[in-house]
Amino acid sequence: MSAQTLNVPGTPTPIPVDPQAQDKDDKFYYATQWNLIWWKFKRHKLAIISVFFLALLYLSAIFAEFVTPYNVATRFEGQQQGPPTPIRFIHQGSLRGPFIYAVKRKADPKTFKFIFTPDETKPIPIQFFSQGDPYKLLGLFPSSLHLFSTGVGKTAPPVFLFGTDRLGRDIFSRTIHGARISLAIPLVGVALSFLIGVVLGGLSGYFGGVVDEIVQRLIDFLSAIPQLPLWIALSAALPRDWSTEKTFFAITILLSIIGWTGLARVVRGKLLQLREEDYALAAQAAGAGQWRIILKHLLPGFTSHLIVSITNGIPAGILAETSLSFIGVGMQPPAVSWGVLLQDAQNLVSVAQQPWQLIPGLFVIATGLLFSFVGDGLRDAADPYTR
Amino acid sequence: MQQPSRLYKMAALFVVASVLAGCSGGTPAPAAPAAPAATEAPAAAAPAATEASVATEAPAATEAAAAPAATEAPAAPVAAMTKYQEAPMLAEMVKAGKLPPVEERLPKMPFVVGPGVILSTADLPDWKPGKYGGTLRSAHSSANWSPDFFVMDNESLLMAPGIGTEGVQGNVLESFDVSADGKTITFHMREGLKWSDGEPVTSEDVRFTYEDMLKNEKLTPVFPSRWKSGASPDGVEPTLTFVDPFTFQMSYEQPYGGILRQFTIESWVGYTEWLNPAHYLKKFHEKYADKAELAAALTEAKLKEDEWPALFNQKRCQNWDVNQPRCLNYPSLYPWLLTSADNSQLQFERNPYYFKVDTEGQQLPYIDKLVSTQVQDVEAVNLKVLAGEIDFLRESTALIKVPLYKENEEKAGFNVVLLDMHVDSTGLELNQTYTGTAATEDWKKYSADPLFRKALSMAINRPEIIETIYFGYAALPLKSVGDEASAYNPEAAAKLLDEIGLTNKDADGMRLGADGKPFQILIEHGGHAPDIAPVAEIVAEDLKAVGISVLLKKIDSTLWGTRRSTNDLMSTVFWSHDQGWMGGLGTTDNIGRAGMAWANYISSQGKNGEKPPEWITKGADISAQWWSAVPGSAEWQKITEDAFAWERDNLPFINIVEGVKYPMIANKKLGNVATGGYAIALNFAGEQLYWTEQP
Amino acid sequence: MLAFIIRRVITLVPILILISIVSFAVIELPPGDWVSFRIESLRQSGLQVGEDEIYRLTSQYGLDKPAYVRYVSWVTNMLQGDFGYSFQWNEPVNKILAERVPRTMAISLMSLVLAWIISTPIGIISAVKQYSAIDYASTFLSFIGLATPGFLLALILAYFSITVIGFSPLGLFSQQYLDAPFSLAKLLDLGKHLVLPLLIVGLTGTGVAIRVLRANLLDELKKQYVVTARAKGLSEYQVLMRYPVRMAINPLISTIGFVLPGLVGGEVVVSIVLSLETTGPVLLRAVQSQDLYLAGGIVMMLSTLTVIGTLLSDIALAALDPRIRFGGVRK
Repeated sequence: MSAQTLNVPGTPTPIPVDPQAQDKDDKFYYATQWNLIWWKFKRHKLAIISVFFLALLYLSAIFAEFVTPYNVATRFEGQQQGPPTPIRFIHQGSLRGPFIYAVKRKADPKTFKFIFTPDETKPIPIQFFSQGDPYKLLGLFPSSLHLFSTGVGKTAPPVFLFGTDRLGRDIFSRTIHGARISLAIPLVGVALSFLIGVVLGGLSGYFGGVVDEIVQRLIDFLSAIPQLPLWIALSAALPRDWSTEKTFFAITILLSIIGWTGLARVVRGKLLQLREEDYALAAQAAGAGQWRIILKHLLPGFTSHLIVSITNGIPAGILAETSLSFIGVGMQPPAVSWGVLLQDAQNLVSVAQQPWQLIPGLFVIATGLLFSFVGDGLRDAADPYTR
Repeated sequence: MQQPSRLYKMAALFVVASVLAGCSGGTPAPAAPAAPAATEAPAAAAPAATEASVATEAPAATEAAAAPAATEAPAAPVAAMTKYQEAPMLAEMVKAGKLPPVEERLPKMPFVVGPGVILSTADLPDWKPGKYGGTLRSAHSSANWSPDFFVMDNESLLMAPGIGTEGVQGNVLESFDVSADGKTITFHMREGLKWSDGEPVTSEDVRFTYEDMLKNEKLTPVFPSRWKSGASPDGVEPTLTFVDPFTFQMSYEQPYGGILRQFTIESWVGYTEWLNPAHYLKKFHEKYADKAELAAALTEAKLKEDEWPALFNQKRCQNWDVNQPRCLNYPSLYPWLLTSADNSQLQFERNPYYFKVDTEGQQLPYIDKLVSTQVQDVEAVNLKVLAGEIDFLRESTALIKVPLYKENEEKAGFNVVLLDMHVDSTGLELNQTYTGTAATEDWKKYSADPLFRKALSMAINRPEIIETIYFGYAALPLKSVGDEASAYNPEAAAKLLDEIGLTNKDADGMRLGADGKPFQILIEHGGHAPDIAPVAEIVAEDLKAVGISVLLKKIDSTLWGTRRSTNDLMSTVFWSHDQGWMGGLGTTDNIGRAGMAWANYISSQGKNGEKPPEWITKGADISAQWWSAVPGSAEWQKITEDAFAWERDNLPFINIVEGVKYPMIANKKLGNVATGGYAIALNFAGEQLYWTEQP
Repeated sequence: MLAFIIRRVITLVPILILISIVSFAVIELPPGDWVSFRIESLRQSGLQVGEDEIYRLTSQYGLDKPAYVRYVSWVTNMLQGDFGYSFQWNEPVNKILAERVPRTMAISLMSLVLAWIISTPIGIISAVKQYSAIDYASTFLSFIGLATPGFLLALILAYFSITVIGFSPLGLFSQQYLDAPFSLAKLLDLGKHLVLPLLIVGLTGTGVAIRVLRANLLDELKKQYVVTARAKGLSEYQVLMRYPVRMAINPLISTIGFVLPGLVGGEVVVSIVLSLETTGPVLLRAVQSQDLYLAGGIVMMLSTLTVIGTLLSDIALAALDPRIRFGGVRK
């Protein structure tokens, strides 16, 4: 079990003597660090389940046109501000495949609210792998196949899993489509600032001296530049004919280029501590090159911290996207992202009378949770001291 | 003999709106004076001396007796009003010797508020004299700017019931006469009217404003075009004559009938355009100030010696500065005065020198205090509505929230009233003079083609927008767009686009320009009102459906404003003024909606911008004629029709709907709340609101 | 140590100058200025604003002078403690800051302290008792805190507070206390208004702190010195507190530099929804309306605090861990 004992002398874990375990342990002796991480990660059930759901989410986002019954911009007249369509199984007392009832909308003259009455005489079956709005899969292959729908064209009574928005568009379809931007942007942003942060923080912490001085002052300067004004200034400065998505993407990248400072400081601090540890000094004495020492010997010592930073960073990125949309400087309609959907839902009418408008918020929370569970599992797996 | 003649005018003209229509018979003369009712007369009106203009015009009154204000206004008491009442809080101050008695604070002839005076009886059928006391609470979300209280605490030189175009009468000024040729207007000021610091208001204040502010090049380098004849940049400036301490005359070389409307409410211009407290401002004017004192004041403001205009402008308060802490204690004529701008609250207290009384002789306003709390955004304002912490709100409401208001009406103790909006909703503007980065030859060609604009108009699903965005509280723009172009007909739109040459399409069905690329419209909007973004989205989708590619973007509203005024927007979605509202029709404002460079050319008299084509010049001519005519006159009506026809024929911009309603929140216990008319007119009528019982 | 501090303080000066230039440029960068913003908003309210008005406003606010002149006078005034004049508030920036900064700091400090008080024991327990029920519960709580959009939570809670409890949580005080002199009742009222913001801001902060503390403590606990300490017979509490906890809060301390400006800047989105009079929303609006000196003043204040905070946390780190003190010199 405790293969790492070789790497870390003096560990309290006793070397296993069970002969049956020996065979298996052999594998550990020759395993790379990444193998070890993977083996330990597999045991973290919650993390594995989370990976599964995250994969499902990302796949749905990639194949959003297929997964969802409608296009993001399809408006259904007379269905605006409608609640989720109940999926039913019992029609007039008898059990049957999933179906819905068509819904008619009427405004109540007293309360000014809309009342939706189902037509309970005629069940409309939900069809799977059926034809619907045409689209191009991955932007390449034309298709009109949808995972589920209630029929082709606007004449078929529509099914809205999450209800409709103010313009009568399917919130389910929009949420899944919106996941594309919301899930992609933080990945890119975090990856970029992570890369720069680790490299510059590493250089600064390991080499010290002039390099350290320069990097530290650069950090002082960059971290003191206010991001909000910069954001507003940049969105005015980028090319006009770029779409909202493109502009936002560009700003994210620009800001991650200056957003690495926090991580770099932590990396530097850690390196300054670790490079004085016995094993680092030993490696140095053994004549190992500096990069080898950093990557092979020091990096594993704070991988767990880095993983926590990354997995905190991604939900934070998703949240930042929603917050920026909220204060009006982020993504804006007609772009579809969770931030845009929440901006639509961020009003008293939704909270008080149309709670289904808030469903994209649940996706934001759930995604954050999933990333955190995965991060937790990864952290424990990457920890060289755990078993 | 000023006095008797004025009395006669007021007594004679019960029929308020009538005169305006009456003077249309060939004479281009602007409105004759129109007073609400004889109640303004402090003594029983003796129809003594008559003035020619009035005498001849009065009979014509019957002609327009159909005006609601005219027919429904009950005969007002003609009894003498020699004794006035005042609010208890002021009575105490008088007792304590801190204030002169109410009779000395009011002008000889105060403005008398009664039924149908401030709001027409159609909009407010049951006007009642109110009770004193109480505080009116509201909330605002911009820094030191309460839009609701700005409007409520605004006074104009003249007024008209319900801020309409008819029935113009005195307000801050007592009355006016128009000469027979319509070129000279004599304004009579209220004798005994006082600034809020107790100093008298006289024609010297007007003279100072005209000679030392408007005609001083350091303070006003460009004479405002709204005061030139025809409200046109190439109009002529007026000459002013100051007859006596309470009379001045304005003369134009050409008739400028719209000037009365300008004085009334147009663009919310308050009295500060022509009337400023000279006694206070002279202290900061080079010509009058004591050299040493001015120098000291400049040093204190960290300004150089030659920068006195900056100091002067910092000291002067315009009508829209009423909310600003720097204007604390500034001499003014408003019903309430700002008393504090601390702790995130704007607080106002009644002006003891306010010049209006009701039919019972009670000095207005009824309500003692206004308090507006600053919150950080519009949703927070609405949260306060639900919490019952707001007594009056117009600015931050939205149609989409009506069900929510209804649900909370009882519990939070307010009523939601649906009134008219003074702006139209959102229209699609295609800037034909756009030459920025996204411009192409195709844009120039097609945007200038009226058939193209008509096709786009027909591609817009207006019934859906009315249903979805306005919940049915709006109508098709039949006046400004016309039957055919406002009917939703995508097939006809596509056919029209084919016919004008946008025939080729790419694989996605988008029409191609001459360069083989999709012909694309870049629509940038600033999201100024809650309906703009969703309307823009529907319009963009509708245009795509007929094969017009659209790149829709919401940009920062400041950036939007800058780009718009510098001719740097290709297309946008924005509101325009209501068609009954004077600011709209054919003015440079609307010309800017068709081509910003044309509007710039016109307003700079050819120095900037681009020379407009003939149809635009025609529109500008209509506008100038329109402003020359007397609002409400038959001539004016005819020009209005011409202007609408011009809009329908040319579609300078594509209006989406007309006649939008707007929800207003008012506490259930408030009296004199209107049930019809413009929502903003109720704001203007704040001084007659009162608490039927103390909350 | 003293030399280290002196050297660092001296390097602050050029950085601050650079920051002031960049901040000024960033705020000036978008086209238009306050006057165009003001005129635009007046026009949108239906007011007619002519050339005369544009000229008047430009001269009133001194925007007719070239940018470098305004920059120099801004900086020199700032050095004398005068942050200039806010266009949109029509008040001295100093007055606005004097009103806002103490409130902001009070709220943020309270929520920070709250977050730390809650998170430190939870973080330690969940590291020590890894994979226990407490660990899972605290993990879940902190993850929820990390993943929930604060503005949404704030609006939902505010709505239900009004409709269910009948208490309006907007602002810091109820209307009747806004102008009232300080009293016990006013303090109580403030306390009631603080529940929601502290809950929301605290929840997010707690999540972050718990995660970081737990991760670092887990790293430390496995190290040999801990084992040695245990072997020597130190009590579990002593083992924990002597060194691992100190080491584990090291990364938290190195981010104090970033907490300091956050204390003054405050939460932007939650403050907006709950209408808290903190500096965050003021900065946002100042930037959006190109209120040059107000935005510049807040930005400079926050930037200076960041730089000072970084310095402080470096000093704290150096004091805690001697290896870092000599970090500048490679042996």
